[in-house]
Amino acid sequence: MSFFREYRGKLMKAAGNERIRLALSRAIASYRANTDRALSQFPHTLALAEEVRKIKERSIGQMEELTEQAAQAIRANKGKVFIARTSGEALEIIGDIVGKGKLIVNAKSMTGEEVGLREYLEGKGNEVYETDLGEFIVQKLGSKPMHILAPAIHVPKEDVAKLLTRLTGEKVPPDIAQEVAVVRKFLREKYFRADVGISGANVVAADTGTLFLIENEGNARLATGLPPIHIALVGMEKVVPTFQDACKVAEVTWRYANYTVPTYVNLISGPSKTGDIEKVTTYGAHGPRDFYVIFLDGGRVDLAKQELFRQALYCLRCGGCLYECPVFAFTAGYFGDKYFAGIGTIWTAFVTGDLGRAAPLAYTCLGCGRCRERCPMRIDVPSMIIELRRLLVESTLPAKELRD
Amino acid sequence: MGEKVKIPEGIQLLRENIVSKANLFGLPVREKVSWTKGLKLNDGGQTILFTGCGYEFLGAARSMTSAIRKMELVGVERGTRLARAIGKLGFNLPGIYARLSAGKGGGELLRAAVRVLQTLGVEFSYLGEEEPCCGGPLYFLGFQKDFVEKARKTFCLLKKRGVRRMIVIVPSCTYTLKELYPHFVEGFDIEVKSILEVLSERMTPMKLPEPIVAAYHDPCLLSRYLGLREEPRRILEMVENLELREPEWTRKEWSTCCGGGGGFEVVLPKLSSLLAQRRAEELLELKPQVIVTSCPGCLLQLEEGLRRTRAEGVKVVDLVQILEKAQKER
Repeated sequence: MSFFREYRGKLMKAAGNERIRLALSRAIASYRANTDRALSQFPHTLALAEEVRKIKERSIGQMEELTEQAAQAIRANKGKVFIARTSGEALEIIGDIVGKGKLIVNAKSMTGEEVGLREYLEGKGNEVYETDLGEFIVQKLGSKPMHILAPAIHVPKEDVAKLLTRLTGEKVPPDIAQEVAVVRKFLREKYFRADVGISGANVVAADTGTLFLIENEGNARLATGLPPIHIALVGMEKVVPTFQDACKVAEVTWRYANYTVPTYVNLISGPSKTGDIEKVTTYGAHGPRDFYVIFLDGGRVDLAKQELFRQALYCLRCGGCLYECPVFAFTAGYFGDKYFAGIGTIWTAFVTGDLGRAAPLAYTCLGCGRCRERCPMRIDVPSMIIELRRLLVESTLPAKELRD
Repeated sequence: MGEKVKIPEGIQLLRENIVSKANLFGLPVREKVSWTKGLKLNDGGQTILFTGCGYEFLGAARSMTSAIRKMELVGVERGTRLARAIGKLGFNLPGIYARLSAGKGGGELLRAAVRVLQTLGVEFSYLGEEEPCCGGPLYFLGFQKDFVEKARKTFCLLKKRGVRRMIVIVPSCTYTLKELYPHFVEGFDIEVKSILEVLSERMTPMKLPEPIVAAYHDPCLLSRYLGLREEPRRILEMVENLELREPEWTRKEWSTCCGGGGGFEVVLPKLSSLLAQRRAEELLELKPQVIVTSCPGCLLQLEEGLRRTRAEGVKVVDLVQILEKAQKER
């Protein structure tokens, strides 16, 4: 029970934090209004979401084959591909490519967070900079991301000003525009000096081997475009059969992610190349010379075989459900592990392979079902939570021990 | 898996109560029917009114949750262990902490439900002390084997009593009987209806003696699990002098949970209380005189929420209480 007690302690500390509550209530109100507006401005999104659900159902059914197909396509494009069975394997592969003493710029990636990539690379003597503004703030605060898309959702601008003042040695006022400018200046030269850029991907097309990266800030295009090496760590569940499918997945993702229309959608299929001199193809023109993709299994292949739980892999990581979770509104990412709230509970159970880690989370879910209403994939989180509780009760505890 | 996973102790207690005491709160059965005094109720028809544990033990539930909230100060695990050691009565905390009778509060609501149904000409009987627990919470908390066993027994008993149709008051029991039983109990053939469906079919225009502003709170189980969103509105719209107000975002399928779902109030009592306050605040923005809902769990949570907001002049009532009042004045 000690893990549960420790977890509850942190959870309740967060729940008592007025700043988290204030930041989240603003974020929730603006999410609802924006999404409502976006859906009425682009009313085809609802039907598209249904189509995407079918695409995901089909894709998860043949996840390993599609990953293999994507790998072949990327190799044909002169990229290098690895399939990592565990997060440890993924870390080793990336560690070997990177080496030590390197400067690394990191575009936000939940999969990177899942395997603990930044900490691992830092531990090997590399200098790693998060480039997504929210992730940057969280990294410099020594905190952990509190929302899959808005990691610094719990930090108000006053705290950001203090942090940047400390970081730059110059007085930064609590003004959002000035704060953004300071970070821009701070990171700019890092992109140019960086040896390696790291990213994830929102969706991958198996036929063309194209990675889609949706963003507004422009950090992902700099981090994946400027350094000589680009490494992408991608969960196997992200692969869909065709480029056309991937476009559909991307649009539904950004619409529910509160982007309405994203500033940038980066499409990356291989290393940078040119044939402009004597029609001889040469790699590493303006962009990276080396492009690596590491597809991560990490429990996903097993999860895909589970009748009820496989739908967790349909998750687009739009984060819409988090805004609807009444518990999350008080606790932010403290209701979670690497992934958050109800859907995060299921991910925690299967990605860490440790049901015990998910146990306190399973009983933090209200089962109220509002996430299911929001989810563009109609993922039935309450049913999965109940099934997870059944597994916890039945597979780990003999009946008589319940009475001890 | 290295060390053994443990599930929260409060959850285990709820299970014990249902399995060994035949109701969620571990109270003696005689307390269950104390509310029927003075009512004319049949006991042999094919259609029964299924009252469930929630309302019958509302007073007990109120004391229990308030006791647990107090106990969080010393830690729930220790508190519940203490409570068990004292009486071996499971969660029979009222006797220990608050000395409230089990019938208080909930009985009034059940009497209101009975009177309203009777006035609208709905015929039904009541199983009284024999009414079994549906076992729903066992399912929600993960005790599926216990649930299936309980559900089979309950179905047997209902068949033995010749039950063909059920009108169910508690949303959780309604969902359990209507959606889970057909899935888990072979041959389950009893027609199950929520009291809201029955009321909405039979409703005739009614009038409250004085104008009142009401905010309706959709319970998760009704609005999202059972899809009963229009029924309560249709009912309330037929009550003259009642002005129904609804939150802009958090209504119908977007309703915010009261914070009392699935044993949550036992595992995380303080957070449950904060969630109750949040929901109460959302509804208070509408400046209602009453908050109307249709679930014993929500009722308790919203009471707690109002208490925390220190709102004055606002009450939480059950939908059937509004109808009872409107009928009387007709």
